[in-house]
Amino acid sequence: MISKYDSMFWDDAEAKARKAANGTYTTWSYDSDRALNDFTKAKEKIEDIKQDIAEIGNDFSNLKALYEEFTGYNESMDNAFSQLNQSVEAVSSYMNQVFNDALEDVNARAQEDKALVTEIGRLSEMLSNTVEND
Amino acid sequence: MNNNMKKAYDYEAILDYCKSGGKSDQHLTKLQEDLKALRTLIYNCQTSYHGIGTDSSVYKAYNKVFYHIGEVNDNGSGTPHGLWYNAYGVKTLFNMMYYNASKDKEQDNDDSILYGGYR
Repeated sequence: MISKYDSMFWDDAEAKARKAANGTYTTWSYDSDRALNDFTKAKEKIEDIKQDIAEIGNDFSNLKALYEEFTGYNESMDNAFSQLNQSVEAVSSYMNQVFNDALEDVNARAQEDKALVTEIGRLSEMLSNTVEND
Repeated sequence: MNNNMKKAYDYEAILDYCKSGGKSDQHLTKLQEDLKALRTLIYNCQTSYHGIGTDSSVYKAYNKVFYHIGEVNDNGSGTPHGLWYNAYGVKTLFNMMYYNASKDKEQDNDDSILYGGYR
């Protein structure tokens, strides 16, 4: 007798966790030693997730081919793939807004804090790479 | 499809693809690991760069990022949403395919026994 249900890995605790931005900061802060590194890692991780979604899209294509005459799942697979892409594009778009805000903020404050001047160029370069990649 | 299969699709291939440890499981697992890592990285970004309170544009952008990373449960308010909820939908689809393929295989095995292997 085969098992009817062979459960896939699912991180239930993480999936159910409600996460939000920290709204308790009382001062503006830009840590020039860390920010660009953290931004770059987040940007790369978003690209990883886009690749993960593309792999799942390939899985759907392969499964559609295996089903051939059975098309009952095709619409569900198309919708799931579309929704994944919409969500990751939204994540990417709002993260780009964070980068743009950082550039604008650092630009404004560099008038008073000359240590931030070099950050403008580095941030601009990262941002232009982001735009090119998008 | 081998000669013993009665259904018009290769349920063995579906079972192999969607089983625990199969290709779909590997890809969905990777997505979950990356979503989990992204949450941590966004927190790191906000530690490195943030505005004051909840009124700043950057706070709102960070919050939107977390919203679209999403969650499966509504925890009493709102609705499930975002990448985690979409990933849950994908998992459900893969599991349904596995379940139905296993049922079809079982049905064929039962029929083979019932009809002495001929039908």
